[in-house]
This record gives sequence, structure tokens and C-alpha cells, in this order.
Amino acid sequence: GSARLDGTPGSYEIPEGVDVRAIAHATLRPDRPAEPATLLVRRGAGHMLRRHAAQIEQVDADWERLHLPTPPADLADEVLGHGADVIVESPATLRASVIARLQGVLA
Amino acid sequence: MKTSPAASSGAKEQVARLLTLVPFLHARGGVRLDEAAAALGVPEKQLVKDLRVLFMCGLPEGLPDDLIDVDLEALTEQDGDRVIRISNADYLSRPLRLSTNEATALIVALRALRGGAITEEASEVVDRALAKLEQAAAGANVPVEVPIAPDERAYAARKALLQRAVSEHRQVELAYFVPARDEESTRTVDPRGVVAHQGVDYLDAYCHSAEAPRLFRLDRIREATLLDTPIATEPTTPRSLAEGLFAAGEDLLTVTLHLQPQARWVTEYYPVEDVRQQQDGSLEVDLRVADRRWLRRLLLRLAPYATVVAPVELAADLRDAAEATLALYA
Repeated sequence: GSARLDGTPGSYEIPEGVDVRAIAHATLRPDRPAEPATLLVRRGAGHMLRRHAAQIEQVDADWERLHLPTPPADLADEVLGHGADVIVESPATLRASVIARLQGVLA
Repeated sequence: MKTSPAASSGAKEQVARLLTLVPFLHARGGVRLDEAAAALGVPEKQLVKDLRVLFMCGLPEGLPDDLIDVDLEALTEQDGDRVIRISNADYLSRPLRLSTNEATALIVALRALRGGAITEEASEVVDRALAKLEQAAAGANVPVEVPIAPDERAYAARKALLQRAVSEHRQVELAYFVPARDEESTRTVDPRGVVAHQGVDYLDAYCHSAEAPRLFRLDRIREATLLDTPIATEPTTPRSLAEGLFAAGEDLLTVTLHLQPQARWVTEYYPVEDVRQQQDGSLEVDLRVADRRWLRRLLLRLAPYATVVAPVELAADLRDAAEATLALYA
């Protein structure tokens, strides 16, 4: 059916200073700027992560360092999926979360 | 119900035909009956019926001078020249015009079509139609700007190239990325066709590296080069993906997983055989797996919210992988 008005006018009051648009925006799209991350990635691995890298540094014969200025929101999942081919250097929170989740598997 | 081409008998279709016919006749002077019938996709008999209706249309009052005049004798008499001539319908001379909404809808649809264009020739046709529409709509203030990302352009070009390779029976060299193995490889294939499954395009081809037929996701082909060498295998029609991506005969391993709520999305994302709801809100699911490396990556990604119930060697495999990774942080 079509939409129609219901209830009596003025049956509720909109509280002062409520901006529904702002609330919806904050709820649906959390305004959380991505923190830059640095990862160590084995040579020849981590193709998906390399796409996000602004800079790739050679570390040694086995490893390269990827600088990700705006990593994807699911970076921890992505890193974990790569297993022993990727190590998180920073940020510390990401590193701690990856370690904790791996320990969870062994617990 | 008659089986004449298109639904020609309905009053609505008739009105549409008449409104198309009158400006058409105006623009062309006289048009031969058979020619007009073919252009409108109706039998000549139907068109004569239409004209008999037109004969009774016109401006209010309905006096002889108000009605459209159709030279019916020329169409029905033995010695008639079978050319349609009408007069007294000058007010209907304006050809079919699209409303702003109609033009916008068409332009948007055509641009999307061009973004994923089928073949090179087809995209030329689309481009021509678009140019005309956009020019016609330019005066009408149509706010259309549907940018097609360069990615999509490249994708469409790649798809056209692969289709060309299929029709010309030529080999293609692919730089292909396999996420399940995290590797990119270069291989030569004999393309069989581009097929779609659930909105994703795949190239079905015989892969000379694997020495077997393989499906390649178009969005994971980083580069495709059309070779001059003809295909080395028999041309075959591409496989049907109606039954899903895995052929029934393929060697699949059934794995039972225990999923915490954080890992529930797996059941919606991948085809699962069976889902058993547990008391605590977790799930036990049976999944058919073709590639163990794919499974290991999935389980690591879900760590620690997914565990392997069976087979036990896969549970051990996951622990080993977690242990080896953790060792890097020590």
C-alpha cells in the first residue's frame, strides 16, 4: 500500500539538537581513519597486500617491507590468511591482535 | 491467440504503431505498404486494419476536414498502387521523442553496457547510439554522468580480446593471480569461451601448464596477450556453469568445521553441504573442499573462530601453520 500519515500531530517532540543524518552517518559508516601499517612480506607472496602498498622496500633475500598508508578495514584477517608469509611490524595494536588470534588457535 | 510476429492486435500496440506511422509517413511522403509493414513488424493485413482506424481519428468535431485522410483505395483496390498516403494529419508530424526520464534511463543503460561491452563491434554500435542520444538530450538538461572507471574499461577490453581469441581459435598468454595459493603465474591457454556464473565472468580454457581444462576468473587475469599461434586442442564449447563451479566428478574432500558467531559468514559466502546449529550459538558445518591450501588460508583468516572437527590431520595442519606464524613474532 502507499505511505500515509498516522497519529496526531505533535504526539511526540523531537529532542533539541538531534541530527538524524549525523547519527545515521556515524552508525552506518564509522568514521575511523585507517592507520598506516607496515608489514614484512616474503618475496613472491602477498599479492593482494602489495596492491595496497605505496612503497616496497627490500629487506633481505627473503623479505620485503610494505608500507600501506590506507590499509583495508579487514587487514588483520588478510594478514592472518597469509600465515607465515606476512609479519605485522606496526601498528602495535594490529600486531597484538594478530598474535592474540594465533595464540587462540593453539589454546 | 494468433502467433503473428509481436503482439500486434492489442489496442495499445495499435495506438503505438499509429503514432509511429504518421510522423514516419510525413517524413517520407508515401511509403509502400509492404515496406511499412516490415518496418513495424506486423502483417500487411494488420497495417491496413490500423489505417482503417486512423481514418476515423482526427480533431474534435469530427467533420470531414477534421479527420485524417487515408487513401484506402490505393491499398485495397485491385489496381491500387499499394502506397500509403495520408493527409490532414500535419499536427502529428513530430517524430517520437523521449522524455527526459526515458532518455536518461537509456543513456545510463547504454553506458553500463559499454562499460562491460561484449565485443568491439558491439561497443561501436553502442557508442553511436549513445552519441545520438546524448546530443538529443543535451538541450533537455539531462544530468547524466555515470563515470566508467578505467578498470572497467580495461576489463571490457580484456573480455573483448578473449572473445576474439575464442572465435579466431587463437592461443592466449595469461598472467593470472591465484589467491588460494597467493601466486601469480604466466600460462598459455586454448580459450573455449567466456562464461558467467553468479555475476562473475570466467574464461573456460585448456591450460597447457596444468595440461587440463581450467576456469579463469576474468577479474584475476592481470594481463592477456593474444598470440598468433592457433589452439592446439580441439575447439570445444565452453562448459555450462549452471550446476556450479565444481564439476560433480571432481575430487572433493568433505571437511567438518566448528564456527563461532564471528565466522558464521562462511555459510553465506561459500556453498556448504550441511549446517547444524549448536546450543551455544555456534555452528557445525560440512564444507566440500577442492584445495587444502585454500582451506588453510580461510581457517587462518578466521582464527581463532573456526576449528576443524574432521578430518583430524587438517586440524593439525592449522595448528602447525599458526605455530609457524607465531614463531616469527617471537
